[in-house]
Amino acid sequence: MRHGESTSLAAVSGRLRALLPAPLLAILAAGAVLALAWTLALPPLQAPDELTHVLYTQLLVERGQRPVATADEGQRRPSELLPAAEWGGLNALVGDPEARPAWTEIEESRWRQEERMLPDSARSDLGRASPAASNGPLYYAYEAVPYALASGGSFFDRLYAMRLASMVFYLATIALTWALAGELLGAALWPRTLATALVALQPKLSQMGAVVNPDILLAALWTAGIDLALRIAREGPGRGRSEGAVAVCAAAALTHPRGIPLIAVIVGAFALGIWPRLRPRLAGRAGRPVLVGGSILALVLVVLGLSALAPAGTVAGVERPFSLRELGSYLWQFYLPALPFQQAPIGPDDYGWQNAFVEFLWGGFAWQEITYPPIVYTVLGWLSLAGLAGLAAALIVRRDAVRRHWEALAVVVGAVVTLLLSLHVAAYYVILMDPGSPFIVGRYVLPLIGLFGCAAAFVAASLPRRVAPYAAGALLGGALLLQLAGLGITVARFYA
Amino acid sequence: MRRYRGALAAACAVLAVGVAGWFAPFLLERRDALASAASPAPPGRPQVLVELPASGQLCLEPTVVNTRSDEARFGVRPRGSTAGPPLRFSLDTPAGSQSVDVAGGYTGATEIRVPLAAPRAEAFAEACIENLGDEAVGVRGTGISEDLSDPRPTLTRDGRTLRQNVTLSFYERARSSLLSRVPVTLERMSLFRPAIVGWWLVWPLAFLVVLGVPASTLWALARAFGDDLAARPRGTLGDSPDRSDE
Repeated sequence: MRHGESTSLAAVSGRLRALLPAPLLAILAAGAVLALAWTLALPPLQAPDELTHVLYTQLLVERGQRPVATADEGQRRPSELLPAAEWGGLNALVGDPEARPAWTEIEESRWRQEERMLPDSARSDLGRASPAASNGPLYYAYEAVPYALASGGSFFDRLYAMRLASMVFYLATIALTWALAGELLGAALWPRTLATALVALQPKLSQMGAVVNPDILLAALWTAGIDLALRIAREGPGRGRSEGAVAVCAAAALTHPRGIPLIAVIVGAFALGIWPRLRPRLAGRAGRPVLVGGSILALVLVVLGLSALAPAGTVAGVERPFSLRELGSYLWQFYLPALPFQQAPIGPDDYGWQNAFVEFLWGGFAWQEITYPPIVYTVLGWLSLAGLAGLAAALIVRRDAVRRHWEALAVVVGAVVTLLLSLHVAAYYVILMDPGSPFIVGRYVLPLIGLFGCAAAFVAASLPRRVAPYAAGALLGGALLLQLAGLGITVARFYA
Repeated sequence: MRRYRGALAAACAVLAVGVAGWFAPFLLERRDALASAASPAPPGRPQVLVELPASGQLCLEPTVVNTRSDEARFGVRPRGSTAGPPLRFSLDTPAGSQSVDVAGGYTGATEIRVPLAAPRAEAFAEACIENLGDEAVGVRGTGISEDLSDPRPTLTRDGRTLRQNVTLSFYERARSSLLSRVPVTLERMSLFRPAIVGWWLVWPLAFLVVLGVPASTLWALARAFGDDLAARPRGTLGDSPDRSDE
């Protein structure tokens, strides 16, 4: 009997070790520490739109209502926020590097005195109008649980309970990257470990995992969705995979409009997954380009359609008509220098991929006012280009393996193109309404963070055997530096 | 074995270069240390010069001072090219009052630094700037938001409330490094947080961030290299090409 018990214990322990190998556990532990540190480093409401997302949850819990987009309802804040923001020094703090939050005990105790005198209605007398009204309710319904659990506490107690709950999605993104790297990079542990560690140490992801914002759930869902898409494309749409994919798509769509393009990725993966079954019915090799071309076209159409609908449905008053040529020019000049015959693109001046995908992806903490020294962005920009060149070279060197797994490459490219294209089309519509809005900022591409980690690890693993460990170590060391520096300058900006 | 040593060596080399060339200068540079920002200037708010007439007085209340507030700073600009009038800065706390005279004669936009005796304890205070001269002077400030979302502190001129604020901050007189201010920095981080957050959480967390995170991620990579060496996976995309082709 005892022998049987020890055997079953060993089996359970073995299964656990397979599910959570030691390197992943170590990275998750590091991630938990980082998320907790970012939670405390950022003063209340000093993260992108955090107040908007907190109030969405508050409206759900306190009044059982979802917010609305119409201004008629009023964007009124709850009464309890006034003393909290006033004594916490939070209003003047937003975006002002010279301002500091309140940091004396007498201010805290004065706020507590005023808070105790508030009527019960001070939590529920908020307006329904919200800029987040177009977001689905899933993330907020989840956040309603910690909000309710901490409902006996103060505004700050509830806020920090929600922040801690959000941390789960950051850790989930890390764990899902491990799974994704297993799909893409094979059984070897060190590339998976490197990919996962790079994701855990990405400073903007850590920040978003420590605040109240649905972007972190979106990152986790996209990572899960891409992993499922890879499995479906490779192994076919089995029942479990199909159910999982439908659930992830539904969750993404119910989280944020930026989750909707994930459906197109999954649809494309289904097309790739059922291709081997359809192939005998099509005329040999001639059918493949038809199917692949048709899938890509379908993806593009779906993305264009969805992106076009999203802003028009929420904001009225687009005065300039849609122009494919203008969109193309904007897209070109976002990434590349203008051609001689091109006019200046619409949108803010001098705002391109370096701003969106380097400055605001790697830096720009709190309300984006906390930045690294400019030299860091220059180095990161060149490293990004070098990384892309390295990725292209690695794909060429590994062309036989890539050819064998062409469906994996199709899913990866499809996911990247789908998200970026949908962001750009939506941005184009927003710029038509508000030419000064940059719209695309770094955190919008966090759904692709798992692929970023895998790509970096793939490049490192493609280097000659003697060089690869040094490259892996250097990448990890660089990621650690950026993470610690980001956290350090954030703490210094607010509290030093 | 050699492989994970190479990875660790490269990671440590990058970390060492970063710490020596970036972190150390950042942490050790001596810089102004803010004790409390009584009334900062939010970037979106219109900058204004609050007029302080001859013999007039501007008062901000309540401001907060603490045991590190031994210098007050605010900006002034005399009218035209005239020399600025002498001023008097006074600070009233429940524990006592102090006032310091500022000599006139400054020209153009000038930051005034007033040495103070730091209070023995945190306190709410009334800070006043009095014009002792015959000419008016502008004091740097901002408009305040229409929705009264930041009503504290209130600015009065000769007893009348203004819908403006002057930009006043209290500093430590001696410049100091960020590293030397780590204890007070961590102490400040535990305020306006749930009651469970205290030094016992913040200090260990800081050590875990600085030492634990690098150690655990480096250990993870080393362990992965070690496990790969033991398992010797072949033919995957994840290992280097010359190894896969072995």
